[in-house]
Amino acid sequence: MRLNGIEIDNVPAELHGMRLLDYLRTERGLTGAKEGCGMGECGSCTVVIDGAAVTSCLVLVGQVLDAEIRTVEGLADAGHGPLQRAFVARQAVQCGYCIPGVLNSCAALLDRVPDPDDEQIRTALDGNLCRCTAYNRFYDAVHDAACERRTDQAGQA
Amino acid sequence: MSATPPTLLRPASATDVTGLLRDGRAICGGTDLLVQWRAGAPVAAMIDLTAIRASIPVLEETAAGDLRISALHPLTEVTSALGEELVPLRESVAVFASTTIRNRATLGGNLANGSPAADTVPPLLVLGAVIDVVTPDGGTRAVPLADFLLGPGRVQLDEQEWIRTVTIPASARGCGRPGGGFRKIGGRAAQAISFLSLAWQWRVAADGTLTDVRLAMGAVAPTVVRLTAVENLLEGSLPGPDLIDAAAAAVDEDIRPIDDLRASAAYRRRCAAGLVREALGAPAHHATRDER
Amino acid sequence: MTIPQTWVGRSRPSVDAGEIVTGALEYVTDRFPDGVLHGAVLRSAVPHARIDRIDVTAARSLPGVHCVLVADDVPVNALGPREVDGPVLAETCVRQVGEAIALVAADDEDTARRALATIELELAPLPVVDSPTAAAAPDAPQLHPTGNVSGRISFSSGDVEQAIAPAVLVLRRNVTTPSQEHVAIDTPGGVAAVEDGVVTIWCGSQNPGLHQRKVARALEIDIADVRMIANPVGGAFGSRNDDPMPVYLALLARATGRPVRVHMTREETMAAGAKRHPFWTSIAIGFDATGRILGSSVRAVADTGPVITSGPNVMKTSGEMSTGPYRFPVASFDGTVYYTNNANAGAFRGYGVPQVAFAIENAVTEAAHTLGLDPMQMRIDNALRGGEPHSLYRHRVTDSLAVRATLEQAAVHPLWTDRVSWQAQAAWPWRRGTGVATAIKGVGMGSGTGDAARARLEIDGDGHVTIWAGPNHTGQSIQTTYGQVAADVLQIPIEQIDVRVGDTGVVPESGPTAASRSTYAGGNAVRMVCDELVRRCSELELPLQLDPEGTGTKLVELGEATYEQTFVLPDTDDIGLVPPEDLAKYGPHRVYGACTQAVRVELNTLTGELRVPELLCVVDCGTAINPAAMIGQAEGGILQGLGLAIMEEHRLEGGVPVTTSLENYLIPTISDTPVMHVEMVDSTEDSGPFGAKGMSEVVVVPTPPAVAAAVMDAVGVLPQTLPLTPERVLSLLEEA
Repeated sequence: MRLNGIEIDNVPAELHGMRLLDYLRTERGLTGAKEGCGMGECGSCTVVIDGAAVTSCLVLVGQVLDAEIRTVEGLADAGHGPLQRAFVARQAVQCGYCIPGVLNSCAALLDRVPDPDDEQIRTALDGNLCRCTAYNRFYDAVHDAACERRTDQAGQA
Repeated sequence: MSATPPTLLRPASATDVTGLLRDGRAICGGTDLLVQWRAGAPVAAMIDLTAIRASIPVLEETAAGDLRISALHPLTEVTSALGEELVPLRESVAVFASTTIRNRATLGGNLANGSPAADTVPPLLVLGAVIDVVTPDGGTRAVPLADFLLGPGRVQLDEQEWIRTVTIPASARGCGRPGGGFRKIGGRAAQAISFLSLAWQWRVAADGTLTDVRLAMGAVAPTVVRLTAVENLLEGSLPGPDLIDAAAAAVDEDIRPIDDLRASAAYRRRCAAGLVREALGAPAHHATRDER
Repeated sequence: MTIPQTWVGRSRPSVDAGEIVTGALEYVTDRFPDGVLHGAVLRSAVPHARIDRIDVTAARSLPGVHCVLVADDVPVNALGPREVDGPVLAETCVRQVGEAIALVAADDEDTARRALATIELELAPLPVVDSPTAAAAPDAPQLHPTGNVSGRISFSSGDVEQAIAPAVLVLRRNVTTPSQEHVAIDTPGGVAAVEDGVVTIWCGSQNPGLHQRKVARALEIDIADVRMIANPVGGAFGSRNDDPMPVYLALLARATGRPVRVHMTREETMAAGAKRHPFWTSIAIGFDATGRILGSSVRAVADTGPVITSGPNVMKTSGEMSTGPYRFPVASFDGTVYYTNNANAGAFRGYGVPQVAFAIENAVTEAAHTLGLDPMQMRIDNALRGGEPHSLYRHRVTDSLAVRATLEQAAVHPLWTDRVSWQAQAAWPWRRGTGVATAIKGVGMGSGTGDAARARLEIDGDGHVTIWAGPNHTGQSIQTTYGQVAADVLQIPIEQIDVRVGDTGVVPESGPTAASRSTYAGGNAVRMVCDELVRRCSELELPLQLDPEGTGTKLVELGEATYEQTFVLPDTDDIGLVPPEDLAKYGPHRVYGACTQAVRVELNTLTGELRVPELLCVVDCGTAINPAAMIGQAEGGILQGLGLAIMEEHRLEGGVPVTTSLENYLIPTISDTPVMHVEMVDSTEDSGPFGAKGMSEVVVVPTPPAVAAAVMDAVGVLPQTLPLTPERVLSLLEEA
């Protein structure tokens, strides 16, 4: 698999049945992905697999040996610094435990839809529970990030 | 928390699957099986079918005009491929669990699970879906969905069989909105298991007459059921207030709801009638048409 | 002289936000130190049983298992000084599903769980007390030597029946509010390690000092040998007040001599974690023809489960808030908390107020409807004003109380003024309604309790200031708030100040992150300690602002670089009818925050579905030190109130939980969340830091009764039972 841009070969067979979430946290030291329910209901373990946001508690390592996987730790390198900065600037985080999963859902959306509307943001985040905020600032932060990414691209062109 | 990881095998092609299923359970999206496993379901080995996707198109149209849908691709990919086709199915996927689950869950898993509350099953039933099952000898058998559903958690799928595709006959295509849809009632607006659900499809003639009427309801009986009595009332008719009252009353004939954690049988009955009324549209709308 | 404010009142991102968005922030449950063992907890599957035998022989001999602990292995098997505080591990009986019986530490999680499975347990079922009614029955099994009543509080300011005799309208109503689970997204857990005789515990806590004492008691060690490091943690909302996890961690680390990690599953947390108390509340309230309240009498019954945790204290708060934010001549309250074999209930944001507020706000809603009065104006007319006597205890409330201003501001908002035309635009089969409700909630633990917070400050030779202060941070960016206060008092750049919280090794005892007290109490302690530094600099003629390095160097040389201050929350000026010797028993507050909400609701008349598209919240919080953080707190609190209103209910059958995971216990998703408008009113609390007071609980309170009022506006029937599931709504519609 490619994990945050790094090729990982020869994952031992005895780890193939392990949940991807456990593999990331205990074998790779990537503790950004959190466990909140273990059954795909809370979204705090959300990572991006081949461009799609999925809950890593419901994926087994052996299923994704040929996949491109991105965790919150790889967001900046994947061009999502603006998204991260917007969540800070908008004060969209409180305890922050759900945020890595939320950011991965948002990043997967932005990779597919560069300028999403509120409805698209809502749908993208409908599997990410947050108990501290009321989600409202997530919309603002995603719009800010989309705007900054557009500006950056225009600047580079 | 992690229970003892099972052995995971990932056959590269369909021909490798059959033998493996003797000792293991098929997994694809994993959004149901891994939840059952967490809850203690004994699974020694899991046979991952995701590598087989490469050999199956997410959607293909047969020479006869039937639509063959992959049972192994994530629901998100299925609806993208469907475009404007099969409104009830697309609408059911739109409210199925959450984006993160739709990005993994498959039609095959939703069907094999045999839940009376499975959200893709009512639309597949009104669309006349046929399940394409791969048999242990490597052949396939086609099972009409109505025959496939046996009871709660029970479907017509032997241990070594798996679902490859789902076929929608050409005759079921071409009923866009308002002649089709899906509604579910859950405990919240997203990421919820249905208390009950309704899928419907019909064709509307120029004068408003309904034909090819099909309705199916989830979580109101041991399996998803067709609302045959309602269908018979509506077929060839022009819905007006009296007919809508009769149709709402006729829902009772085909459902056998139970009390459970999510809702009472009494609520399910009342709400089932309400969903049929809602699908048939606002009373004022019909009144106008009746006057015409 | 007024201090020019540079940082207070300006929104500022939380100090840890940068690390949160990169995934770098290491939560207490993200710690995997070298050589760490993994712990697990054996829990009761039954609600009430006698323990006849526990055999851990097989578990202890399982390869990879380092220790198995049962009640006998706990030096002092108690979570508090009283029998009703309950044991650390069940000894003679289990009294709820999820009660801890044994602890295991092993090389890995899987081995720990397999070890649990080998423990032989012989339990003899006992009759289950599954409701307060069952607990009160004459022949009920007694769950404690002191009986089944956990606490009772009653007070009367006069003869209510006489006061309401001339009323044109008397309402006698019963309301029911459910058990609610906090669902902090991070479940309880962390790591403990023993080094040089000191046990250090990294585990979320809203009250690190209390947990330090609990651990010291259970392990029978000196309190100085326990260090609680209580953050970063993924949410709290009251759930980390009474959580026994720090004790489990410390016991396992001491028994094994190794660092031990435990992280509870969601299923364990659903069964064992403390909940919001379910309440059965009845009210008798009389109104005159103009809608003025003449008197009210409230009786409340709560279910606290098998151990005391916060039960009686919650009821104490219910009593004080049973008169709502209103001024009227006579009131009485009588509340009883029962022990049962249901889920233990404890602290939950709002702390007994949402339950009784639902009773009085529903009554006011109904009275306005019946008397043909505007529900907003009727509340304005009855509102308690700053400096007036409280309706039950007759104690004087703070001058800053601005209930009326929150109502008046809400009354002119388009969400309220456009309610008729908005209602008219409903499309079949949906109907629309708009409702309003208002509330107050005290700040701090109340008069007579000696509530205090502390702050310590140190300046170094670089002029850099470090402040150790409490209460702790559990997501509300309290360090940022303390930093803003400090920067403005010291008049130095905020970047020159470090704030540390939540570590008993370095932070002076400051009480809990609870009771809406953190900004008010901790902020004041920070203000005081900074004031002291400023005063000392002035006395020594040291230019702190102009030459921080020189000033710091000089203070270090003089041995005057460290300061500590205690802020004791002031009692009310006039305790009214409360007997002085009972002041702490009733704990009337001096300072209150207030909140009014107006809510739009849409109901499907065919299915009973209810949705809340838009909501207005007007808050009286005094000065908002970090306005965006305050609004964020308000929005999150509203959503928890909305969850209570429309979908959340922890359910049990015969003491056995049936809502067992996040699949069947539902909290609001983004798709359930309304557009929210949060506004502030002008108010200044003279006793607060820069005029601030607390607000993060009161925002939970008006949401359920505002939703109920909106339902009434839409369909003409007022719901008296929460949550408003589609099934309940459809039943209401059939009554309409």
